[in-house]
Amino acid sequence: MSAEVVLRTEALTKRFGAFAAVEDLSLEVRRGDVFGLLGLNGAGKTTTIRMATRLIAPTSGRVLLFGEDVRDNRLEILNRVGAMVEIPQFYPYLTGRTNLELLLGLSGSRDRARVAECLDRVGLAGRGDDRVRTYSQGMRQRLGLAQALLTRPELIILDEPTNGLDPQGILDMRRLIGGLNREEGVTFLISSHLLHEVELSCNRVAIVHRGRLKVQDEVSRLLAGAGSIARVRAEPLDLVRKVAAALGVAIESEEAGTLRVRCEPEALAAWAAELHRAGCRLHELTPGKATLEEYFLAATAGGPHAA
Amino acid sequence: MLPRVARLVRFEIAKLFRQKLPYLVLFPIVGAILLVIMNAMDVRGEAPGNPMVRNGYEYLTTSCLWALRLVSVFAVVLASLSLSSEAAQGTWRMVLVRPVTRTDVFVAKALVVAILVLALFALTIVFSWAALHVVHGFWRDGAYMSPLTEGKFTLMGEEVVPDPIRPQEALASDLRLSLALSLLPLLASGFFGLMLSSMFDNTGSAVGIAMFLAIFLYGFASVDRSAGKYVFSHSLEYGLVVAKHRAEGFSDRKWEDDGIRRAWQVPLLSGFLFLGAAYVIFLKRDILT
Repeated sequence: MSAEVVLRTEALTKRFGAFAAVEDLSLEVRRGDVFGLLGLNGAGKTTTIRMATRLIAPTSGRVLLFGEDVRDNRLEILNRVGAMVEIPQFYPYLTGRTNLELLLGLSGSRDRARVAECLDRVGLAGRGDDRVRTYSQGMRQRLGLAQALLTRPELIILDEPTNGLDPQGILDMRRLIGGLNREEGVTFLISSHLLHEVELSCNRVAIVHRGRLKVQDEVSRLLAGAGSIARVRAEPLDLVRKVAAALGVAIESEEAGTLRVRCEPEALAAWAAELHRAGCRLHELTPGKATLEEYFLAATAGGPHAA
Repeated sequence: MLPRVARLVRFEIAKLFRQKLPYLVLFPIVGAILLVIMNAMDVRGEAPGNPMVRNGYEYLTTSCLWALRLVSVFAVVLASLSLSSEAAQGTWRMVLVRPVTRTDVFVAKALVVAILVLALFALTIVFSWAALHVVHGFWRDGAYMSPLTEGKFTLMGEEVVPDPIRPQEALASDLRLSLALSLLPLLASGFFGLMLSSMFDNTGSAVGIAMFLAIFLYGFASVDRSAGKYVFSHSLEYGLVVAKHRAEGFSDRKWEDDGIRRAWQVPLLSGFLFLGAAYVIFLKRDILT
């Protein structure tokens, strides 16, 4: 039985004048997913998130959250959703703790213990009583996540959550998202252009390009379908290319005498033997795995993996 | 909707009173009150019956007039920050992803502007009254006597002289009416600021233009008195100036029905107009980018 869909967009479209920021976008985020919304800057990720949280209205199409149209029941639905849209901004003259207390108050709760818990969870327990104006970008990002956690939401929508974080902060954020997902069953929709992060954090992903959906699937399936990438350094190059063509091995790129070729790991040995038989001098043959980055670049360039 | 608006009002008030600006505006207001009240010292010792001799009601009315003129300008300025500061700080997104609507937010902001204006209005009256009593209250026959002593013409200083022409009850009634008439113009000033606030995404522009317009309107109304009657913020002058002249005793100025009607109708209509315009602009503008 397939998992419950907590967020579904149906033919979602947003136009600003003649410009279509999002066009005919249909996504499906299932309960328990850490769903990555990938795209270049200006691909329509933030516009999609704004429509999902009803900050802006779509030109056409609709967003269903927990099976209900967000237009019809926004207030009740938003009680079950935590969101951080774009760079989180807080009242700089208030402390982090007061900001959270006031924001939690808007949801009708005055649970100070929950505020302390959220601050602790994002690693800001020691700085909660400092004014936000003294916070670094990374700390504001953490506070943004803390405010999204306040109401114990079932779905958390995060727009570029690792923006401005240092490597340790990125690692902490990844662990935090993973922990909430595994331990509390929180579903995440995360927009990002950090492909490596999405690959490590998300189980499902959608790639949007110029407002349109290019592909939507499980990360593992996308990468398996993309085949494996091997690095080959051999001479002479003309002969290497001929052998590759004869065996049907696709050359993805070529740089300074090193080829990146797409073929299954089990075919590599046969190819190496064939290169040897053809008289090529093989200096290096490194098997590798396709990455989301390669898949993404191919998809957004309209290459062979574009859906 | 009411519980959501109540939560938002609490939210707004908590933010407001954690900022410095609302406290800073108290300094010029208190300064104006003290200047007027302290100035009463100058006329001490003048002969009773001399038209220049002043009484407690005159000083109370005059200090309220000057202080409320400042309140009127500050109401525009403070209200102009109400919506624009959220846009400037980028905090709209954080608020609007909560279970509240834009209408809830607007209603709460308008209510908080009204509460702020009422608070400044009340503080002005209380402080004027307190300052008058502290500076000019006096002891007579072993008892404390208020500068607003019943049925007396009160000379600032030590002497109390009965004044048959201006009985205390008439002066008190004038003061009450003038203060009541000054409330709507102050609220209209606040909503005028709110309207300006809905037009701008940065606080500098909002405050600059609000201050310029508030002072311009005040100046315009003072220069062109016939047109000035229709300027919302200037309506507060009518009641307080009439009450002041009547308290001074050397003017036979009377309350005019037309004047009273205009003093509440103009700000009332203007206030609704500003609120309506602010609401429409707030709903229509893209406040998130």
